[in-house]
Amino acid sequence: MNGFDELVRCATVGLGTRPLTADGLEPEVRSALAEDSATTTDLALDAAAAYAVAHRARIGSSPRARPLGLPPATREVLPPHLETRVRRLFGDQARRKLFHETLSMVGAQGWTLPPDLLLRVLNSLPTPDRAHVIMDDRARALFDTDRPGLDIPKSGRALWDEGTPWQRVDYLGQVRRDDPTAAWTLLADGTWLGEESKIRSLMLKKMSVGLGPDDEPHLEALLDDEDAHVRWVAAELLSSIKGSRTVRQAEELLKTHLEVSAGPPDPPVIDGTPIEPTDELIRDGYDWEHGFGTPMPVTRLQLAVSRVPSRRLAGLIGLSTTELASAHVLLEGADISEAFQDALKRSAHKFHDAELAEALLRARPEPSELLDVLGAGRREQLILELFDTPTLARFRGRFWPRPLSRAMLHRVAEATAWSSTQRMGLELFELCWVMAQDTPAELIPEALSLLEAVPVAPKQNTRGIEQALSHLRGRQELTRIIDEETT
Amino acid sequence: MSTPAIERWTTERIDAQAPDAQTTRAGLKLAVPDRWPGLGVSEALLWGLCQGSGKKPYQVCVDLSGPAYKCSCPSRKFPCKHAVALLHLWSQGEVEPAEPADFAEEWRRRRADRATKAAAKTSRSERSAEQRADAEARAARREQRITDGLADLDRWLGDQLHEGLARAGTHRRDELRDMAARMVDAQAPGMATRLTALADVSDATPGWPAAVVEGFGMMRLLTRAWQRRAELPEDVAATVRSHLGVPVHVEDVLAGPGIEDTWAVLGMRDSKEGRVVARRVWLLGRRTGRWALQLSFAANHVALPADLFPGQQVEASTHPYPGRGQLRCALSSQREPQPLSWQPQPVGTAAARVAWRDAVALDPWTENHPVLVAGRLAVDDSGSYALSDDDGALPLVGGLVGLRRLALAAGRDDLVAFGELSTEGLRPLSVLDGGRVRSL
Repeated sequence: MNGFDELVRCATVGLGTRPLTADGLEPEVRSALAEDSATTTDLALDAAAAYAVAHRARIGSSPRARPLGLPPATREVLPPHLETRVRRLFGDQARRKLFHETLSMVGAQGWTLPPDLLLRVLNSLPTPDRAHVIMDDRARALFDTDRPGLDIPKSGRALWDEGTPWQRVDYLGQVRRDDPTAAWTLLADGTWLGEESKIRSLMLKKMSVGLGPDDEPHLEALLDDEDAHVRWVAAELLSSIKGSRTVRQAEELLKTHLEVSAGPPDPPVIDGTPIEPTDELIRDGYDWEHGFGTPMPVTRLQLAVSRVPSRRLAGLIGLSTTELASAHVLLEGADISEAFQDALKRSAHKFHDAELAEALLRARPEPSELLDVLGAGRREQLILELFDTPTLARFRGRFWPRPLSRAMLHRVAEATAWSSTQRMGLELFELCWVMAQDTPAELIPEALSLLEAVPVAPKQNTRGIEQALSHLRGRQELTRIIDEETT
Repeated sequence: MSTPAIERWTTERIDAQAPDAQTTRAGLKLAVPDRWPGLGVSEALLWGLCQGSGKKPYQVCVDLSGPAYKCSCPSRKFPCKHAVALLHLWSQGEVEPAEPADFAEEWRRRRADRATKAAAKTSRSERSAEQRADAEARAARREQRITDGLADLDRWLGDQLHEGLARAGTHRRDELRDMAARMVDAQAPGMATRLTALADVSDATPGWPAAVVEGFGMMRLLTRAWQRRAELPEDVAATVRSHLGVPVHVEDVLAGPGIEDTWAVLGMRDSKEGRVVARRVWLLGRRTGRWALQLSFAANHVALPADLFPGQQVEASTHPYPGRGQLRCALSSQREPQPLSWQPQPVGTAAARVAWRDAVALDPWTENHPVLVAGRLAVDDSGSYALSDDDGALPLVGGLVGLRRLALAAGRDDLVAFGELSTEGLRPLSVLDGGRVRSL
């Protein structure tokens, strides 16, 4: 024990109980003591002074420090003129949407925020990745590594071996993107079987990237997994592999169980017979109840439809796509047209089949996710052609091709005005935001005029309109400043 | 277009004027021309009318050369959000040159009159023999009170060690605070600050017995030095007085010799000390290579002086406060600050350690010492950041947010940082890149 430790021990216990003597102190300390340190208390206080000064003269060291190793910054801080605006927006809770849009605009210019503001912004977000648009590699790396030592960020294989379940999921996805075969090798260690059902399903879903014939044996084996979710994901993935046994089986089922009983020039009618479950079909998931309240024969037929590539459906059944979309479907005499169309919709969505999606929309024009399958141009044309203003109001914030073209802007404005006159508050609010956020910079003046012209009744709540106007004006100002700074 | 003679202030400099973060935010929010029916700038005089909730707009004036502020709003904060907003508008180029409004001209005239009267008063302020005798008597009374107070403290410290630190337990905090209050009564506020800081060390603090023993040791040393001040060299005795909090009149400091130089402003730090906020502005003489510290205090809701800001340089004379190792100074003959265009030579980590050791040798109670140090950002096994070079690693202090700022502001791991050394390590206050100073 050194002299200081002894001093601290005596002071803690009490000099009355454990007196301190100069003999236990280092010679350097003894020589620094005052000559009149007569009592043990004086001796202790003077020794404390000597030790304190000696300790204060030294700065603690970090003997095992290693380089932080962050990449250099690549983004310039945004220009001062813009910085003030961004700071003001950040401080204004009511304009948070405009602030987030501003971040995108700033990020698109290759700028970042001053460190203090960036840190405050990051602090206000649930996760740092929400601000990635304005962060360069250095900032991103800093937030991954800012607690090294305490929580050394795992990387590479260590993420799989030692990471959290979610880190393992992410890592598997990363490996799958880089090398599909390596992902199966990773799973072959069997450790993923110990994860809970939800995590195992998520891991398997990561295999949806780059699916091919080589994946079929692995997925076939998982059809015997003990967990129904895993079996379901495996079957779904198999149905996405061109020419897989699952696909061939579904095609065979449709050929066997669906028959066109009437057709052009008459409206097409498809007659169906029930699919009887066999051991093979049960293994492949045809006994699972996927639609609540839907009879199992209908469910099995829907499942078979969903597992056939949508572009092959019409040929298999013997109709054109347009006829298929509008066909009347019977199962043992019962009308199951709606359920059949639902299956077609899901199939069109799953296989991104724009032709089938358009045919279904024309057969029954209603706002649905089928619009998402269409390219922006086609979607716009269909919106102009098929939907009246009250239906467009039901679009609310969905389905509009973004950014809005001039034609779409006017349609949104019409729907907005109609919602206002009908006092449809939610629709009005969301449509205003579509105009505020999705109007391209060059159409902002026009959007402002259209919004200002929206009819408003006395005492009507116009908050949505006012916020949208404020948002558009803010965007206009920011666009002007960015243009000035970049030209 | 605005006043050509005065360079527009940065957002950071404007923020430094505000008395608190709330005023900073509110000022920024108000900085939209729509809210200002009248705005103008004439040389260093900036004015505006800000529409508040009432009928009559607030009349706001700023003298950029001071800076000084005036607003007709009822806020007790100084400067208020309106003045901060006006500065933002001016810095954004939203204020056009114009003839001063009547209220602004009136305010300028009154300020000029007051300045004239104050100058005249200063020139007549030679103290009479009677006044000098009174001052000496007051000083003697104060010295006696300090002597008595420190004797009480010394006995109390001894009692604590005799009884044992473990005995006091949770009461130690209250006892330390009581003793701090007695030191305030004894006109030794510097000692009171030490006691208050030590009260924050609880039994839950790792290594608390050693920290308390060292704290007691430093107070004992200060007490001993005071008791023997007559035997000490005058500059050491002045150091002791300064750490006890014996005031020094700035007029007396300015009466001493000044050091003329171009002073680079390298860093600034605000810290809250009870109800008072202290601002440290660190300066480095370009010709002399000397460090100087401008230290100011302000009560809550009142802005600190912000005429000097990191990234500037100013022609001035610095007059050091008395004391060995003292860097605090008062400025005179100060010209208008200019943007800094100079990269001073940094030292390495080994030299930084030596600089700290030497600073403690000159003034054992010193809390920090300025340094400009080059190194590479590093991290140790405990997760703490450091600045490293071939000679070792200097721990970085200042919390995670401060260190993130450093890493972002530097833009790369190899950097030159200005900061304050202490026994814990380096507290970075700014990074230097070429001639540019980025305040943290």
